Amino acid sequence: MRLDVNLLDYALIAIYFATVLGIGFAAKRRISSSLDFFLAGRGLPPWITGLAFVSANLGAIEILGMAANGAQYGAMTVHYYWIGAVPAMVFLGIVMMPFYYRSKVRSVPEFLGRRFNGATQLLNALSFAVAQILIAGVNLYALALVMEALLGWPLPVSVVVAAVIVLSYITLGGLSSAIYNEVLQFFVILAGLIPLTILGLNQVGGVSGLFDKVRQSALGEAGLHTWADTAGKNPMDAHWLGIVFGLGFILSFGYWTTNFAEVQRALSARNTNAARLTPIIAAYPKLFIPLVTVLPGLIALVLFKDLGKGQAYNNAIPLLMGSLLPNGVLGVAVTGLLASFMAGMAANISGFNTVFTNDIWQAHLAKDRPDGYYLRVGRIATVAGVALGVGTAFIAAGYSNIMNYLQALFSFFNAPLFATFIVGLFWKRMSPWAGFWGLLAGIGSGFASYISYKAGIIDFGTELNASFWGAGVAFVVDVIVSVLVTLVTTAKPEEELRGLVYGLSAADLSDDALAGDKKWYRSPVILGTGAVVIAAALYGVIL
Amino acid sequence: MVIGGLFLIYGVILIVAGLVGAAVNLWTGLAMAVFGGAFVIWARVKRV
Repeated sequence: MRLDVNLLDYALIAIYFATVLGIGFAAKRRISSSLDFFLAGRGLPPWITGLAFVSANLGAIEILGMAANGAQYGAMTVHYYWIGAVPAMVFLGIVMMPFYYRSKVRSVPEFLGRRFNGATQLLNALSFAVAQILIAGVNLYALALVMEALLGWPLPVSVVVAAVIVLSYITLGGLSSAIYNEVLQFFVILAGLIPLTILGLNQVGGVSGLFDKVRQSALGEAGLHTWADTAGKNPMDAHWLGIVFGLGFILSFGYWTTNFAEVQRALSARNTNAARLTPIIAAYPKLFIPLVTVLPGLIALVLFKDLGKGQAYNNAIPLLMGSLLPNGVLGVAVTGLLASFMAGMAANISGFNTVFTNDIWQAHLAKDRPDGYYLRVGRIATVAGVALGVGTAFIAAGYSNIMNYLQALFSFFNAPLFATFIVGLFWKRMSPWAGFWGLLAGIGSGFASYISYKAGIIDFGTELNASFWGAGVAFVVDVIVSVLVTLVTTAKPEEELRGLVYGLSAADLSDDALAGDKKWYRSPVILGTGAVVIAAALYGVIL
Repeated sequence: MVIGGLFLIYGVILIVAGLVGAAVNLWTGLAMAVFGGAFVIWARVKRV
């Protein structure tokens, strides 16, 4: 498994690290207020925030996990992209972003605080902060495992090196540093994965050769289909109803529309139109990322016979790197892998420091201090967040497929949050306390459903189905509790809801459109529809 | 603009990676160098 890296590869890795830190220092000079630190001063063009939006989700756990799923479940894995991401990203851009951006909130919990009350804000801020630390920990642990297996770096060394680098560029340059680095990471990750996929395809005799060999593999014909047999037996054991509503609606809309680590990238855009375009521009690369994650997973399945038996599925990409890439390109690929670990972790940490400072410290513990004070708190929160992430890195150890673990987490935190958002956005009567109790009941029931699966009380079949169902239960319970509590409590006066609820626009907001925003290629609706149409067409290619 | 500087550095990395090409490395390196170079030029033109 050990890769044969030489001086050349290490030089490439070193140059990358130096650049990353350089960006941190360059961005530091532009930080003069807490708005600069937490939201990059709201001045970025949409293609930058859009690429950062994809990159924030393109962590190594995602890459290794999706390649693992590709090898284990076959082509069905693309559901995570085409139905499990793209429609929700487009919905975020077209429907929800105007509310987020125009209300000038700094975070998702702050929006909840404005729409409902401080308790809802705090609940969401705390659950988000805990989730980000956990995920950052998972990320670090996974990084350390991969580096130990590939390069022979001792576990603590890679944890500390990666943590220190992420820590220094975020503490220095805040969100703009994180975002510029994410754009850079996006390209480096692709530069590592594209040669890997092309060489892999050559090795197995092109696309047709790959398909032939997959048919003879453990997956068989089923490994080449996405929707066929989703009413019966298929590799994922997932029913099409579960895929459409569980993954495509509740899990994906919950994750993409309310996860602040993602939404934060769009909030840093320069105007409303740029903010709306952010997730939509991100949807286009997202459509094609399976080509460099799921496809290599399938290639690994046919090249390495012991995958899934002696070898963990998560080793799919590292195994390919070791057997296909010569020194030089290998260095680029290792750098890409490192970059993706850092991209994921940077997104978690920059989301964490903003929510901690803005929604926990400033909103509930130390109000009305000078701006410089919060900037300092933000930097300290970054250090603390990374330290906690290092500490929790070992929680991930008990899980064989890291992706399932993440999905389980999202179903507890994001599905009920999405329910609260949707009801709160379209029903102005929904009361402040309904926001709080609905969210709490939703999170609680999601946990309960998952724990009873783990304890063997309820049988959902697979871990994956358990997270679909956990998310569904959390969503439904949240909606029911929200409605019941609204009926017995008082609503907010309409005046306080202007700009926060559908149909009640804030009259005093000026139009912030720039020249050229009217052009068709800058229209969120046209570009968004285009992304969904392409996703549907891609399903046509591999049904 | 910071973007210009960022991609200038980025382009340099890619060109370095392109120059070290041995056998299979060469086409990857070339593609990366062309890509990086295009970005640098684009950033320059945009800045003026």
